[in-house]
Amino acid sequence: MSERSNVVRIARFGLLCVFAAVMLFPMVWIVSGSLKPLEQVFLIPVKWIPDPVQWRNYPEAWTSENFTRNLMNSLIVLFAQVGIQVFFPSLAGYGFAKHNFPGKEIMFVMILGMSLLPLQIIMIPLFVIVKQLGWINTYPGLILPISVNAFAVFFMRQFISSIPTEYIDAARVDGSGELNIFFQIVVPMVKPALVTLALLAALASWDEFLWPLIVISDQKLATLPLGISYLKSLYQAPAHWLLAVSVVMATPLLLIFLFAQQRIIESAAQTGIKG
Amino acid sequence: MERTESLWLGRFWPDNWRYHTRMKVVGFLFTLPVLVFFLVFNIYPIVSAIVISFHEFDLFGPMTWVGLGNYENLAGNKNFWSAMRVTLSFTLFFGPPAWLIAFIFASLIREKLIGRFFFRSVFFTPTILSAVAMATAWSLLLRQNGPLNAMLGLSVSWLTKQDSALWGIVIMSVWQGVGWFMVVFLAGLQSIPQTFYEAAAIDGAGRWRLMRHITLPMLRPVFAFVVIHTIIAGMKVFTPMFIMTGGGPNNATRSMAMLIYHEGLRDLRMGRASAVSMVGFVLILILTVVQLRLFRVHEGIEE
Amino acid sequence: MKTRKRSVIILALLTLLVAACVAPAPMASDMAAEDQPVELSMWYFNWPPGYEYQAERVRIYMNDNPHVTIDFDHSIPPVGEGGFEDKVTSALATGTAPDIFAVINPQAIKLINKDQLAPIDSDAVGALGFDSVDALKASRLPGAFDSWSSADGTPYGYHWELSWLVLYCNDQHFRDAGVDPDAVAIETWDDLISVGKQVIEGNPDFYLDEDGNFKRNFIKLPMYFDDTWSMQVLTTFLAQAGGSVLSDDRMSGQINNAAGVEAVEWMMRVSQELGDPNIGPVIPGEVHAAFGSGEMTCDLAGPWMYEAFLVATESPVVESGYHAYGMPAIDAGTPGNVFWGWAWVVNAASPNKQAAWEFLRFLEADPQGQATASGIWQPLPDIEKGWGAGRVPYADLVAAAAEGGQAIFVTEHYAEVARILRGKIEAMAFEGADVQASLDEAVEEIDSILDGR
Repeated sequence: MSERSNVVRIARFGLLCVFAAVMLFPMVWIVSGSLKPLEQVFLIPVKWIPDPVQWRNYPEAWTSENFTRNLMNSLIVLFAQVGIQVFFPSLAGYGFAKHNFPGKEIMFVMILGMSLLPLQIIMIPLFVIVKQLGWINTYPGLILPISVNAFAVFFMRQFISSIPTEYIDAARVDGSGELNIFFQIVVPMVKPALVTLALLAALASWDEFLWPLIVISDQKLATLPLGISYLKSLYQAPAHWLLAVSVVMATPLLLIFLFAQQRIIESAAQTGIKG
Repeated sequence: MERTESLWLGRFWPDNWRYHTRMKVVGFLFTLPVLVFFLVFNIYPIVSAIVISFHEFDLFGPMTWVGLGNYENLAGNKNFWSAMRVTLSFTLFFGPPAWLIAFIFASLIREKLIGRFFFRSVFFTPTILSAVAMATAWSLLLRQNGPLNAMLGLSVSWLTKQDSALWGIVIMSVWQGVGWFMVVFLAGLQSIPQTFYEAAAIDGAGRWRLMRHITLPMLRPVFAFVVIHTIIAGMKVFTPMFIMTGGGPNNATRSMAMLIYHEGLRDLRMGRASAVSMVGFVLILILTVVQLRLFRVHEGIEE
Repeated sequence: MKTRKRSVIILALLTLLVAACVAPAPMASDMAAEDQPVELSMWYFNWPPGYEYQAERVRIYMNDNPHVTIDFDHSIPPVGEGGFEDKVTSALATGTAPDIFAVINPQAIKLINKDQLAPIDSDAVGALGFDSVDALKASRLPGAFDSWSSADGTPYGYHWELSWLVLYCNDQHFRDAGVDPDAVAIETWDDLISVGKQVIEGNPDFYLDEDGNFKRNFIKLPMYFDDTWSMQVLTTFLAQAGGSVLSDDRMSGQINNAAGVEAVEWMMRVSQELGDPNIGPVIPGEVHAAFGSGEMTCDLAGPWMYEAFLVATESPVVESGYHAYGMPAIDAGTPGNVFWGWAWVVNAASPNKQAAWEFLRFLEADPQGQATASGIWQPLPDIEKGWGAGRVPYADLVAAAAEGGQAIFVTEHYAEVARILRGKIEAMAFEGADVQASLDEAVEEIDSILDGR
């Protein structure tokens, strides 16, 4: 290694450290603020280490609203949406990848075309439709209309396409039914894709704000993001509580990320989980 | 044929259907649930948005036909143009800076170095954190007496001034979005064969020339992808405004998505809200065509 | 606590008795005779002093009337983006609204015109314990039903909260600046501005930074980022200047006339000379909380200030003392204030309207208990002289501030008009936009809304 490249290396490392500090600073402030007494939150210069550490902010903030109920709703919605998002696109992916039927191409392009269509554009008619279905303020209304993502269909089709057709043909010759083939041959072979899909669906479901905001007015069905926005718009929402609840809301996402970092980053590059 | 007997739902088929016909139907049935989903929850809403946009409709009463009335109204509607301006400004202020920073991050951690994994995690983490929670927290971070001003030595009242409110939201969005752009660029950079650089290095090309003549051209499809997604992100942006400013001050941060929400679900003017949606839809349509073409080139739909 | 609750109940019964003498009507127990099980749903917003009291009343009622089940939800935030009004409207539009809910006065006309609310007809009035609609109206302050009535005068809401603005100031802050809070009289905004300046000059380190810029507000008007509060403050100043948002026929805006400009200029003077709107708390709730925590010297708030922001938050201001100074006027001797409030309404689609009104009668049968527990004053004559409101310091001054009060303007397009005006107020306060020009713009936008349909 030449001296110059070492200098470049150190400079680059230093630069990265500075960038990392900038990116970390809001997160550190949020976590530290959530553990401070209220009067210390906005102290200048910023007090990075809370003293005293006020753990009771968390139980206090949590019980100030019905966050437990919100959490239960969020979990119900999350499990339902993850199930739907993993199962049906996989079925469709198998149909698109390993079957032929008239209109397949057009159908697939149509579904792919939907992948860019944001909820924001169709929220008004969707609300009217869900109203006509009698699904306002119900779990089906909360879960179903945003449960399937066009990208998931595309993603599963790509994965299933990569399974050698010989395996499937062999099973067909053996007389296996198509559903059996799907569950016994296809599913085990695309397990990693299913896990990725489930993770992405879970991240999206946990954080979905607009649709619950529109479709839920009965607070018994409110999800966690709604609960937090309520705390924010309340008459008395102390900063340290807001921060504590934000940390609680973000922590599961952070944990999922830490455990499945590689998977999430790879698929994020293809999908735009937040985009 | 023996094997058809045990085919999925085999015994329900009419006996005279041939195996291949049956397989076609089975294939279609696999895709049917998803097809129904998209028909009911995506295609039908689009059609119905077109229909509603020609009506006056407040959810309580019946729909009244007004022809192009809603569209004519939009043309002279200050709120509509202000929302379009906000959306456009957001996209422009958010996109290029985020791309640039993300590209720098990606270039810096592209090669092996100590802590590469750590840096990538740190840059990406904000992307993963809840948008609602972060918007809530950032509305405190951006206070006039908040930590951001303290660190920068400023005393800007970010979210209360028309000039700076959108910037406040943009700063948060860049912080949250840069990680995603970074991994997209990183994936793009890593897909460039190392041999290209080696060959160029033999020719004595410097860093800058490598960048200009190899890296950037090779990343062109990635850039296109990123641009499309940035535009979509601009059209989608809602949560930060809703949580941090409520579209204020004086509508300075009311984006298109938020205008649709206000017109439709607060003022119950479904017709006008649908007309705004249609304007957005046309833009999405154009982007979709572009995107499909990209996919076609890179993934080969027609196999 | 237990004994207080018991005494609340006893007094509630006494009040019921008195009410029964004034307007003889069948007692609730008679009507409970038929034991058909009834389920009622009811929504209120997240306002702990209010819903805690109501939840207790609901519990007592269900205990006394085992056939009635009341599903009471109070977790929706009160106002603002996605708040109570939006949720109620959306629920009504989709047929998922509860039997009973609270409606703030400017919202009522829209719902009445869309046939969403059940009228207080002769049956309902009986269930509420009155002989006739006139007797019901006579039992409350004049005009208390105005905002909740259709054009022909039929009431649709059982008005149970009346609120108006009162000026409160922190004694300790005055003393720290060498100003004797007892010696101060604030009759006009001019008085407030000169007292404020005196206090700021007397204790500059508390309010100003080294460069002489505000770091704390002496007062911040509770109106930013909130349509409802913007209107409350704005219409109060307007009432004092003799102006109004809309013309008499409600067909066009006229807030840009001389009275409107005068009102808004005073609003801006108070905002900008006694603090910097760009600093400190943001939404109205935070502003009140800042007064409670001693971060801000004066505040404009309702009669509920004491219970909701001082007692409930264990505010240091209770300890160190505060004054209510009534409501300053633009011109001494011509006071003005605007009434706000909430009424209970029954969903026009409810299958149990009668049971709903019967329950509402019980819910609001103890105004003094309600005033004590929640700080919510019913629009009853002399309520401030009862023991309930009397527990509030300066209750007489708070009540006096209602003098010259009027109801808020009514239009079906209230929400849109409010949002336009709120935007202009923000531009004027935060950035010093020109008052006349801003109001001209506002009127232009309001007119386009009013003849837009």
